Amino acid sequence: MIIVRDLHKYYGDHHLFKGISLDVKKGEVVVLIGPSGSGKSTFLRCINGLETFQEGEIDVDNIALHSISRPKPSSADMEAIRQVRLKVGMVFQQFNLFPHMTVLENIVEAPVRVLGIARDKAEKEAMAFLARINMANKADARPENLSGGQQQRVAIARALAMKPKAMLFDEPTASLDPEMVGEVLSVIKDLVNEGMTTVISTHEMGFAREAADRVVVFADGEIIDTGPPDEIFSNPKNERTKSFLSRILR
Amino acid sequence: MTTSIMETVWLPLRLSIQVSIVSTIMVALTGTALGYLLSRKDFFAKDVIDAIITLPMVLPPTVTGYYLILILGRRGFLGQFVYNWTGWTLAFTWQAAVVASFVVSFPLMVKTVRAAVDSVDPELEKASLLLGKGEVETVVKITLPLAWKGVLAGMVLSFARGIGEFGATLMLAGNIPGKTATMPLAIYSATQSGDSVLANSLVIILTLLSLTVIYVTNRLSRKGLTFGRDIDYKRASNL
Repeated sequence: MIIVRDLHKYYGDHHLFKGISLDVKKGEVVVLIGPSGSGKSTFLRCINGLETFQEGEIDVDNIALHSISRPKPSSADMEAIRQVRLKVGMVFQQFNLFPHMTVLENIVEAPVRVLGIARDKAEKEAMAFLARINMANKADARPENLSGGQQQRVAIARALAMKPKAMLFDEPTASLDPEMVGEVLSVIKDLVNEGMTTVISTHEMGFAREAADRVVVFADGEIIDTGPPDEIFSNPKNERTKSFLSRILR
Repeated sequence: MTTSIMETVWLPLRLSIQVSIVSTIMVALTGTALGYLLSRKDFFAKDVIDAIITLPMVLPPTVTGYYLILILGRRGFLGQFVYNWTGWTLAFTWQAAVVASFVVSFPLMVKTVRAAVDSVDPELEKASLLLGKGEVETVVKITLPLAWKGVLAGMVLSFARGIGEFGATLMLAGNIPGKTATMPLAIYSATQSGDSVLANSLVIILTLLSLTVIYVTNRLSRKGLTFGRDIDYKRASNL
């Protein structure tokens, strides 16, 4: 589903990604862990074309994103990026709901405009999903009147309304108050249980352990370790994984 | 008496409003586009373009007007081609007053819009792009609605600057009663000819017009400020 081969990215002289390869199968749940600044967010942003990369290749559901060394991507590159974005939904750490639209407008705007779905049909589907996440009564609210947890659940609903084949979550609970982390993770868990292909970067080790098919450990722009959650958390073999986990699980 | 009021008060007033409205519409369209580009894009000679369009803010308006004559006058850099092809020249027409207003108010619009777009979180635009929307649609649906107060403020400033424009207009359009003599020029003429009744009338009208514009704008933007709070009121009444 998502294949990343030998990804290199430079910021000026700084060699951020030193050859990252990752293969995410259909229906697989891959959790990225690792210290802040290890490149997890940037990696996710490469997958949907928010960041360019200088070497390597990314293939999402048979659409190839090529490395871009020129300052401006070609129109073919742009079209590939657009196609990938239609297949991959993304949820940000900072929610990024459109503040001038209601919850319902946030969700239906893109399906109506981009996919050409009739507005009443899109609204019906959005309301059904809002009901599932117990937010039907907030359909007409503005994002500023919602809690962080509610905003993030709406952001997930917005991404899902585009019917993506895979979802990327970039630290979806990192800017939430602790009591709201659970409600967001439970929505993600439901999604994962339905078989959605998911790549998620997080510091929630409990979630990683419970929901992941595979845990991938990032450090200094490299994948230093990968394996099933039990192996990574209970019996880590890599020294750097051990030291990272001992710091975060203390 | 009726005719003289028509000519001495109404004509300059109508001309000022007409010139400022046309100029503001042109400034709004082009200034918003350039303000957005300066905020979000990198392109060739960006800083030079920024400096050139800002120049009329610091130059004396007469100097700006002089440049406009050099460029657009009958024997001007561009004006001569227009005159040779069409026999028409911009100088000393009401359209010249529009051009003068446009040039002096353009930087106000561009700078205000640029600052407003700067304040819009680029991550929201990225979220829009990730939902499959195109760049133009993202600008129209996300960026500009979020920056609308800056766009509105830029338009008001431009309109006010247009109403008050004197020096560049005098240079390029002249001071022809009924044709290019806008309010500020008519006030100048009235004062020079010692017609203090007319000068007072024009000054009062111009002041009232400016006050009205500022008042209406303040009302509009306050209405905008509360758009998210309507829901709170509803919720409060349900409790």
